[in-house]
Amino acid sequence: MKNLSFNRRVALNFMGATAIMMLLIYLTIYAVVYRTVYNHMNNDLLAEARELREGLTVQNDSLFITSQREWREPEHGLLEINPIFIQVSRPHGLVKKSPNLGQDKLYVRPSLTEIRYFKDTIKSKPIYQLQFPVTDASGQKKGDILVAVPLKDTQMVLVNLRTVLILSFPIIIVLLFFITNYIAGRSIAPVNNLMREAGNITGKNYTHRLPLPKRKDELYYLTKSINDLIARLQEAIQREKQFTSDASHELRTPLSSMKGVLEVALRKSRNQEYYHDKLYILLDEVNKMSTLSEQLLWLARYEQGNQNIKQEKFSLLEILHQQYELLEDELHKKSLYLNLEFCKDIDIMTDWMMLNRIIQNILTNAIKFSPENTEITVKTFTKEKHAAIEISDHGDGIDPQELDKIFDRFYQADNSRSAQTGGSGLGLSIVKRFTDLLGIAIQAKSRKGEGTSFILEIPLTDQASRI
Amino acid sequence: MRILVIEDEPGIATFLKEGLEEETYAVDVAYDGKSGLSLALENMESYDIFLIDWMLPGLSGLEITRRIREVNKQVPVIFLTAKDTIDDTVFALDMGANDYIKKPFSFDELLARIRVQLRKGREDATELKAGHLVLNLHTHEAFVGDKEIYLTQKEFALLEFLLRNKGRVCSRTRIIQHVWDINYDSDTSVIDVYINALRKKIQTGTDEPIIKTVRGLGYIIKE
Repeated sequence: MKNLSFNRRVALNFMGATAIMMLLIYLTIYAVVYRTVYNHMNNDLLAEARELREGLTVQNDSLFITSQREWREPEHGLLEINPIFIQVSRPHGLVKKSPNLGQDKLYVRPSLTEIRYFKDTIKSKPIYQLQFPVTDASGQKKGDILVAVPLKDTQMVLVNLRTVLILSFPIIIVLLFFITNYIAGRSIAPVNNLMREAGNITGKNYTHRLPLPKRKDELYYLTKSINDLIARLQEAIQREKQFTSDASHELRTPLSSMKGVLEVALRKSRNQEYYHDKLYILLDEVNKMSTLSEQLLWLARYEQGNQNIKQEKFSLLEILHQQYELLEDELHKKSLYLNLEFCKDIDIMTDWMMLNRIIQNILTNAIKFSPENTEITVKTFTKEKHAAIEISDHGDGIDPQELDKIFDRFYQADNSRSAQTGGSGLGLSIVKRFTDLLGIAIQAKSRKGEGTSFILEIPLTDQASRI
Repeated sequence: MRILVIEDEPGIATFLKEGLEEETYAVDVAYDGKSGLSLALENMESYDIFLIDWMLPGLSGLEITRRIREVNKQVPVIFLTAKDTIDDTVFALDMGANDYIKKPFSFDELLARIRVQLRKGREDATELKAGHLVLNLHTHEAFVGDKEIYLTQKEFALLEFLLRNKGRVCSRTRIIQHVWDINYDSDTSVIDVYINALRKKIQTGTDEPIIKTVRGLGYIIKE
């Protein structure tokens, strides 16, 4: 049963269920016909017996036939057409019997005191017989009326019915098995197709989609959900591929540069100044690589979930001042002014280190994309049980259609890498990862040519808020 | 031999320029796709080979190669890239690149590959000869008969260019285009200075001069 194909299993189950049901129906049919036929005979025999009883009188322990009318009816005289045998008996002898009995007598059960039906034989042919005891006024039995009909026709009807039922049962069941098998096979065919098609989808060939059936039935929706699943997988694989490719590109670029500088330097002997220059270049590349590996580590550390998050209460202004000190040199290099005048001090409850990293990455980005001598504005305010931080620069801004991609790992504003601004493209994806983990809503607004704003909304718990 | 390097990573571009110049190549560098392409299209005749990074801001290396191929089918293009799958390699070569070097690469290998590209369709040799003069392109040694002579980088490059064009007159403009990089103003009198220095070093006694002046046209080394 376990290894049977789907259509066989459907056919077998269906066959089993139908067999049981048919058996019940057949038994009922047979029982109903049987009961009807015998009831009919019972009624006939009883009516006949009652008529005979009316033509009988009990006198001094003897039975007298007072009316001969009943006895003269043709069915009692003839044997050939629907004969009814009748007989009246005393306890120790016969009173009268119908002519069609000829030499035979109907068998009397003397001890019987109530109406009973029997199957019996006469001239070795089956008959159905009623024994009707006759009593006097005091209830004493004085004799019996016996009425009988041949059973041959009735039995033939029942035997025929039985034969038809028994013969038709296996034929119908077997036919049913093959029909169900065929129909189930046909209904399962699209599933088999689906299976074959799905088998064609391999790691290399995940752009393939299953053909959608024309009818919008369960199979249609199954196929559709499989296709959606493949699409999601494809997307995930693509993202993963892109990440690996980007990460390797980002690691290879400084490595190539270092390898090249070293190889060229070693081709001949050089003066002190040359080595000095090259060492600075190498240091620069090493710094780039260590920043990148640190960022990859940050991403990896929080990839699995939030087991490392610590909730602490601290002041928002404190973080901003700390970031200002940290980034002062870089701000100074581009003559940028970090405006913290619109900052309210709000106490918040979140992971200090992660929020620090979020703000640092956004600020570093703002510094990177700000033209010299411009202002970066930071505002903090409360908004519907949230502490909000808005960081705005006056850079070139981001294209609206690019805006939802900026949090992708290794995304950089130009489709290819831009060496001028540097950076790995991991900064904002770390921001996104961390805000997701901390439940902070992040939103980026930008207008081409006017600048970009990042708005963070940190949920406030009641104890933490103080305005 | 003059090379255009289109590479956005300043670290890589710098060592390429320095290293290649030490190998007597004249090297121009473009740091983004657009300026790289315009430099290539403006000076198409001057460059003997292109080194192009795949991922560039502005315009990808593939697109630059395609545009170069629209005007010049022969000039060798070598791709430098951190993309390293077989698909990428095949794609780049199909798009018209002659060779493909994966980052990080060995500088010696890059030099060898550049030599292969420059050798193609010409004499298949690492040595260039004219009379007693032998120039080894691999070791950068020059001999007159058995005697080794010492040439500066520019002298070597100039001699190499004339030898590669043996039997053909090389105009001063062409020499400037192929031996000097773009930062040189087109004052061709500098060539005469180098030719004189070269003649002194390679000339032996009373023989016919190896480098001949073709009045009004330029210089030639004959068979």
